[in-house]
Formats: sequence, structure tokens, C-alpha cells
Amino acid sequence: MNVEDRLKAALQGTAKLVEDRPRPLPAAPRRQGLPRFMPAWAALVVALVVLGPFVLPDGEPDAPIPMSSPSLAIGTAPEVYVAVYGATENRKSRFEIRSTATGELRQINEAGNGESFVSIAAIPDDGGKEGNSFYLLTRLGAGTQPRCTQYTVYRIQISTDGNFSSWGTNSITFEALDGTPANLATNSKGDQIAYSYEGCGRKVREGGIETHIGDGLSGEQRIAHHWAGTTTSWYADKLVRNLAYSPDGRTLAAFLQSRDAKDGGAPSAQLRFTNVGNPHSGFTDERENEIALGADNGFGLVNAMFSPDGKRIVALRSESRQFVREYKVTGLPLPRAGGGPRSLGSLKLSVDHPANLHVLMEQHPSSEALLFQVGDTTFLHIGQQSHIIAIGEAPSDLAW
Amino acid sequence: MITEASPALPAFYREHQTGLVRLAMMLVGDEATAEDVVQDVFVRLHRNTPSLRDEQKLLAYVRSAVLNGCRSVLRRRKLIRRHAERYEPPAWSAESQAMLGEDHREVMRALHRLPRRQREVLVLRFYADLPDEEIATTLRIRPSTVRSTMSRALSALERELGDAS
Repeated sequence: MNVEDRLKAALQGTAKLVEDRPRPLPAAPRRQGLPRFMPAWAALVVALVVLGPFVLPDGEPDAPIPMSSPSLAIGTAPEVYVAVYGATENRKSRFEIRSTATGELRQINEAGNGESFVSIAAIPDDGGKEGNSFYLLTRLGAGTQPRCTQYTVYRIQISTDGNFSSWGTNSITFEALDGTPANLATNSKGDQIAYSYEGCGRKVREGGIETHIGDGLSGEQRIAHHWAGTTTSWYADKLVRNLAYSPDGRTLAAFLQSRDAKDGGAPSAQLRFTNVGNPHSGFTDERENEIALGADNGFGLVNAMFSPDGKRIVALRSESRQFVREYKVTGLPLPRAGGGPRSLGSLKLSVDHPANLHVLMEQHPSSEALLFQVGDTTFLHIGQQSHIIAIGEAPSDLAW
Repeated sequence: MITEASPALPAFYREHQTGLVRLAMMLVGDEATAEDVVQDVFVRLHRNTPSLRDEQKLLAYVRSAVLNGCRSVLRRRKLIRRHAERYEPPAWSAESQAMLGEDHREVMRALHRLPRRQREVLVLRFYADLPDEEIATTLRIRPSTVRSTMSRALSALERELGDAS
């Protein structure tokens, strides 16, 4: 018997284990057995923070999140988004262009041999009429120095109807500890780029003289800012959780967290700023340029971003107890804006879900829609409603 | 057109639920979890039925949602959990009490050593008997990718089973 016949027989045999009998649907959505789309309402909470000062009722049960459909109106949100997947043993790295309304796959573009895509950032105001530009942080391979890996940033072009059109040029090439570059960010015009990484430099002593080779010491957390042909990098004494340029492009914010923070624990988190008009300034030491995100009654920082008007930081935190994972969102005024933190809502949810979920959050500056990736599910939040637009392999990053 | 208010949806469920549970069973390994996956899909469908004009397209939509649900289950099984939960071994594992012959167990174990997409393509072809275009729609990939994946999957399965070609 050939393999196809054996496979058919095995599948039919397995199918016969399932009896053909009525299976009435439950009267209400399940709360156990299958994981809920727990973070979907976190998307609701964050969206409400950005869109209006609503107060969420405590104890509100989570509503099932619908799957999107082709008739979903996306308003001014981009027609497509891009999801990035790193290389694995079995397949090449790729980026996927998908429909925002339905998650439908429009195009897949694989990386070249040995390359792996890491992170992606959209350039919303690149002035292009033919489509949109993105920066794509890419791992190239072994670096020139021991223990170093080479990375580059491609500028790619995607047409308005969702077709990849060009690789563009790679303006930045750098070396870092393998697997550490992350948090790619760019300003609205795309003429400034920032990313975090761990250095792979080392000290060499020869003839009594000690020389420092490479950028930063091995394992040292660093931030790099590229502007006007010059790359400036500086040491970050905490783990860089996220990087973001302010909407006016004048400030680079780094969301930092203690390296020993456990999920849902009480990390010491900070938000620091640098004036990008002076690329050599690094972080200032002035207290007024820091916001202590900190440990808010045990809630650890999950993600943070600028509000569309650039006046607030939207901080998403979470905390886990025995059978409950709770999310809450706090609106934090930027320094010099005055006022204190404002609690914008919280919800509790009984779920069965893994402890560490990779939560990505993107908001396009021209739209009120939010794009979320939580675990293996991509959500679009628009018009005060969340929709599931894709379920599958979790990308390492996405942008639109 | 099938809508939320349409009496066709319950009939659609009654007609297709066993086949979909069996499809999910191929991927998740136990009937209880397979039932959960399918029933969750239909509960969500009931609240927000897509405007699909014919039953075949709705079936493809639902089949895709069932596969997605199975992927979520398998992904979560790999992760560390904070608290214990019910877990049934797959029907083809040595621990299972399911009445499945040894050869069938061997084939199903070999199938589940394949990469996810190869596994899904083989199940949709050799159990559900779907043509390339329908497999492509269900998995949201191109028909050419279905063909190349099928070819690689059969070769990989042969190697896993140690069969001569």
C-alpha cells in the first residue's frame, strides 16, 4: 500500500472515532476549555483611551469578538497592513501583505538566503503618491567581528493596492549581538530611524594598551538614532520595551523596563526622552524629561505609545492573579503638560491563556483605527468594535 | 443569502457539524477539544454571520475558522500554563484508549511530526477530498503553493514512515 493509501485509511479510521450524533450548541459562550480572545477587550480599553475619556464599567462580561468580513468599513485606515515573520528551521523569513478589512493574504515576499526580517515600521508621510514606504529591519548574517551579527534596514515600497514594488536602498548597516535588535521606529517623514539592540563590542588589550572594538560592550542594551547620515548610539541602563517618535518628530521616547521584571510583576518602568534636534544629546538626566511608569499596584507595563495628538502617553498594563488576567490603561500627560496620571478604565476577565503574550499595538496617524496582535490573533479595532482579522502564526512585528 | 436571522444557519450546523468535528479531530487529536473548536466557531458565527451568498462559500469560511481554532489549541498546548487543565492525549498516542489500529496510529503520529501547513494540506486533500483551489481558499494561500506544499508533504511523510517510493 503506498503512502497516500495508508494516509487515507488512517484519516478515515481516525474520523470514525467521531460518532455522527447531534451536538447542540451551548446557550452562552464558553468560559473554559478553549482560550478566550482575552486581549481583545484590552484593545477596546486602549482604543477608548485614545478616542475618548470613557469609563469602563467594572465586571462587564467580555463579548465574543466577531470575525471580520469583506463588508467591514475601515474608513481612513490603510487598506493593507504588513506582518513580518522571522526565519525558522523549516521556512524562510517573509513579510505578508494583508487586507486590513479581512486579513486576506495579498502577497508574500520571502527574504533572500540567510536573511531574516526582524521588525517593520511604516513611514506615514513619505510624500509618495504611488503607495506607502516601510523600513524593514533585517538580519543579514555573521558580522565582521567575533560574536557580532550584521543587520540592515531596507526601505521597501508597497503600492496602494497592496503589491510590493521595490526593495529600495538599505541606508543603515550595523552589527549587534544576534537576536537583540528590536523596536524599530521612524518619524513620520522617514528621515530619522531609531532601534534598540545589544552591543557585541569587546575590549582588546595588546602591548599594555586597551582598545575598545565595536559599538558598545557585549550584552549592553543600547539605542541608536540615525539622522542626516549620522548614527548616534547610547547606553540604556534598562531593557528597552518600545521606541516611538512624537508625531511632530522632535522627540524620541524610549519605554524602559527593569530587566528582572517578571510577567505581571512590578517592574520599574520609565519613559525617557531625547531631543532629536540634537542627535548627540542622548538621554537627558533632567527629571522633567522622565515619566515613571513604574509599578502601579503590581501592574506591569505591557506596551506604551503616543496618543495621536502627541499630548499623552497611552500605557497598557496587565496583572495576573490565580484565574484572572486584568488589563488597565492609564493616560499619562507628557512632561511640562501638567496634571497627573488619569485612570481610564480596567476590566477583569477569566481566561485560560499563556502567561507571556506578545502584544503589538499600532495606530495609524490618519485613522482612529487600532491594529493589535495578541498571541496568534490579529485584531482591528474600529468604530468602538473589535474584529478578528487573522488567526495563525504570530508575526514578530506588524505595521501599516 | 445566509444571514443571522435565516433559519438556514441551524440547518447548516446540523448538516456539517459532524464533518467539521472530524476535521478538527485530525488536527487536535481528541473529540472533546474538536467539539469545542467547532462549537465556538458556530457560536461566534451566530452573533455575526458574514453575508455570503451561497452555502459552499460559508462552508469554506467555517472550515477556515475551524482550522484557525485548531491552530490556537495546538499553540497553547506548547506553552507553560499557570494552572492545571484537562488534557486528553491524541487518539494516536500510545496513552490513548481510542480504538485505533497500530498502523493508523503510526501514520497519524508521522503526520503530526510534519510542519503545520503540510499537515493541514494533507488532511484537506486526503480526508476532506478538496481540490487545490478550495484548499487554497481555506488556508488563504495560492493554489500553486498548495501543489508545492502537497508534494513536499507526501515526500516528508514517506520519509517519516520509512516507505519505499
